[in-house]
Amino acid sequence: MGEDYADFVNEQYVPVVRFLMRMGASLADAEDSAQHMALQAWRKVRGRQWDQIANPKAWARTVALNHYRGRCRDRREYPTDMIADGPAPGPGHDELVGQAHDLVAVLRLLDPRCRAVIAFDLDDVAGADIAAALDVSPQQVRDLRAKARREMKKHLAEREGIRRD
Amino acid sequence: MTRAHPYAVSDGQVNDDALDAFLAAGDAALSSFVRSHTDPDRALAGFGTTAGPPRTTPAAASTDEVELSADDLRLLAQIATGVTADIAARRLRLSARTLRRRLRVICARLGVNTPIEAVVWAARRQLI
Repeated sequence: MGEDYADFVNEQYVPVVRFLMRMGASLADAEDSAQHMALQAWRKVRGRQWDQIANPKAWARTVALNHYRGRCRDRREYPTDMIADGPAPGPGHDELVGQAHDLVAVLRLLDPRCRAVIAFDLDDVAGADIAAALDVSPQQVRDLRAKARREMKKHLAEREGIRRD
Repeated sequence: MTRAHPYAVSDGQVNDDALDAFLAAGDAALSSFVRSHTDPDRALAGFGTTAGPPRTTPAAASTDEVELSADDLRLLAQIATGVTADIAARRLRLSARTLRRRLRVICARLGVNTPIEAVVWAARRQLI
């Protein structure tokens, strides 16, 4: 059981940090919330409730997301620059940071529920699990996804147009 | 913004493939950023402890030879219940500062960075 837990955390920690950064979290906040998720998972294991979690991948993201949102509410402030600093790990770093920034910037234009659907989609979480996580119907998930994709396409087209002018 | 983008548009329209390419490229970049910047020491924050000095080498990599005392295991078992360091300290009748110091010592002996890794270490060996 402990081994399953360790494997789960090893496997999910970085993806959950990335998931939260898609939602606009800073690296530090994303790590804190991912760590909270790891602790909650351990509690489930200790309480012998781990097997009751139908989809651990969706569960991990939901727990981390709720923790992150709670923190944002408490602080009443949002990070302005999610990828602020840190050592540059080598050639190509600027390019990578630029691409990551572009993604987060586009996601930030969406309303939070649309953004969440896309963030879950990027991790291949099933529609039913997204609906449960966001407390909306599966149809609403589809609507939010369609709206999000429409808005992102529009934004990218506009940006491309501006660059050409 | 002078970067070339892989999601070039035609007729001022961005199609699904172009959007997916943009998302995939951004997400891959975000992944590599997270992987190269994730600092395990930050994980200590969840326990309200501060990180010890960074390890330069995994000195205690052969952790199978390390033995923890019954007190150490009791401490890890408390942390494993998910309570905060303060509550765990109260239950063990220790000061929070002592508990954190002992946690750091345990982590150092096991050659791990965070209490959760120490908990996992003990759980893997079915010690807690």
